[in-house]
Amino acid sequence: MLTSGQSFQVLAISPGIAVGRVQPVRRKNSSGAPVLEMISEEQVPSELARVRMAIDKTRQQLTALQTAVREKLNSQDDAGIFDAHLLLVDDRSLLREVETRIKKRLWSAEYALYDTAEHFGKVFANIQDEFLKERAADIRDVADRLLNNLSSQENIPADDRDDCRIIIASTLSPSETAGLDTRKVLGFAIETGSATCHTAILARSMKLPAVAGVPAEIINTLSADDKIIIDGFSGRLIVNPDARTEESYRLRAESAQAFYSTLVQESSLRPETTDGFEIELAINAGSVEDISELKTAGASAVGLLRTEFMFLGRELPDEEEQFEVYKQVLIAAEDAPVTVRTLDIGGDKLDNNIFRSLEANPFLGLRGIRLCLFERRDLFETQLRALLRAGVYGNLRIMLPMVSSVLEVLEVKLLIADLQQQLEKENVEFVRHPVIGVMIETPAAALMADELGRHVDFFSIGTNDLVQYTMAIDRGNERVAYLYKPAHPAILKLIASTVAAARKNNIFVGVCGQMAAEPEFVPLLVGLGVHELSMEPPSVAMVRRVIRSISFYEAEKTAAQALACPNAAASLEVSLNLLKRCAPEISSVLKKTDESGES
Amino acid sequence: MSGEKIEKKVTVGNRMGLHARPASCIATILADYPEAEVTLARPDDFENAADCHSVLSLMILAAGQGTELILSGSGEGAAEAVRRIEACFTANFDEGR
Repeated sequence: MLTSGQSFQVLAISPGIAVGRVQPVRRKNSSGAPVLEMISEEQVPSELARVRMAIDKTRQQLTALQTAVREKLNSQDDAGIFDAHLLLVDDRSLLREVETRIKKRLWSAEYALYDTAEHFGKVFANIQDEFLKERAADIRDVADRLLNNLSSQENIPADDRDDCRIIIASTLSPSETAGLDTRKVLGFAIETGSATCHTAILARSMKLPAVAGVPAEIINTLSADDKIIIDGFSGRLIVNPDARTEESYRLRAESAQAFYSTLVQESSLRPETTDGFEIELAINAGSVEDISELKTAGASAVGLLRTEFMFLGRELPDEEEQFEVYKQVLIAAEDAPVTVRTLDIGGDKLDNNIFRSLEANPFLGLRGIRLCLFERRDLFETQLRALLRAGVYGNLRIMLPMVSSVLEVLEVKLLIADLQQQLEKENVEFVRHPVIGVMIETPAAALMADELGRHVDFFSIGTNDLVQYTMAIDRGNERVAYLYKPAHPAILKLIASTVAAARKNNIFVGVCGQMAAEPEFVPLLVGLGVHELSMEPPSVAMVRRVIRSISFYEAEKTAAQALACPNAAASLEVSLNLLKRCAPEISSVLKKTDESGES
Repeated sequence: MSGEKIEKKVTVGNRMGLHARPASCIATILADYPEAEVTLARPDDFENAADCHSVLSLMILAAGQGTELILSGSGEGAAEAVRRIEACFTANFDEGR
């Protein structure tokens, strides 16, 4: 049992504080299957009714998602993927199989549904046809939704006055997160995830406080009657707080909120240090729609446009479709530079459409540029052609992910030259001198930055992966998350050598990982000499304030000190000290308490 | 009349076979005829006939291009449903070939 007032150190993945009752989302247990529960004859009608209710609810959710996607992306095609799901929800055979299991075998609705999905999943997996085989995933997706809806019905008490809740779940998929109703959900606490997983990125753009790394025992014990506090600044979870704690957190939540609103009003101020050193503030974007955030946030560039949204979970886009998207993005950005990252599939972003084989260790496998150059050169060529053509409509920068050797860059440049020749022959308009850069996200790239710099126009340091690959930790594995320390001197050294190489080659260097968005690291990055910081749009306001509060002179000194530190805790301390001195209002919001981990 | 049974022979003409989209087309048509019992089966395997109301069941047929199938219907509206489905097959589900 949980004692009242018990407090747990977890991971902060999306800023903000939420205080409220719990909405547990129970699903399959860790082995993947719900427990086989038998019911009595008398319970059959109510179990059948629950299934029907879950079906109705799922249908409503899918319809809502479909509408949302249609409006958001302004595209019928993307919304079309939900048609298949909608048909499955109301599928006669599916329902019949579930009902038979409940009536004849006296299984609980959960188990009947799970078993039916497994049954169809297996049938589909055995079909020779590759296209049909993939439908097994659709069935599982729909079954997961149904299972969720079965369980959450039980846990929401009908008589509750304020129906806003904090979601508790072992995991939340990006699509589930996107589907959360922000008017009813205060935030969420999950077991699996990290600040850089896609669920966290979504939470931040939806302005939902969130924490991860919550132990399974806690998740399983919390019920709808429990009240919790989640602190998405410092990574704390407090169970059934006493009145005083609750009050102080409510106040903090308000003042943090108020502080954010004042920061947002500074969006027109120049992002320069007190001694006049200007940093380019940029946003990370994942769709055409995101580009509008440039103006809202007061940023001057798109430092990272992810292109995977066009490729994952749908039919692959052809050259025309991609050309149109890139063109729209570049036009929407007006003259602001747009850094388009070429297809970065692999790692945790896998797709049967694109991958031909499964790998034991995808983060160390055919990922990013490797996949593009070797396994799916066809996709890469199409994307590059579309980019070269769209480039005439704006300020395009092409960025290559997962580079670990100079040869990869040379090969891409040769390929681009070939494609340009093709386009010339076809009499199609294209950009003659595209700006090409590489992501520095492997230690190899950082150490060889000098050599790489001779062949490219810019570097962009992807700190999420750079930390992962340098520290040898899996980003999604919360058991090693304590080692995820961007301020680790090892990381700072790699950034420093990248910046030095950029200077030597007279090219610019940006940072587009989570590190760029976190105030405590900003003095270090500025001091190390990075030119551009790119982040999720909601973070721009706070980072601007940090930059405007410090001097470049002091930041440089701080960075030098941090580089000489023996461990991550010490180097972070150095940076926090500067922040405390120059921007006390920000350091008080952060109140980082989880930096005790020794490196 | 509900007692009558209609049978038609159809051939899967589109290159991709009876995959998700054509299956959805058929099930969507059947939604207009809730009382009609319409099935698709391989001529040599009536036991595993697919219920045309069910996308799942249609996809499980895994009928590739060139497969001959027997389309059977009975119950209210079956005649019209069968005619419309037959037309879909003739038009290769608007997928060209």
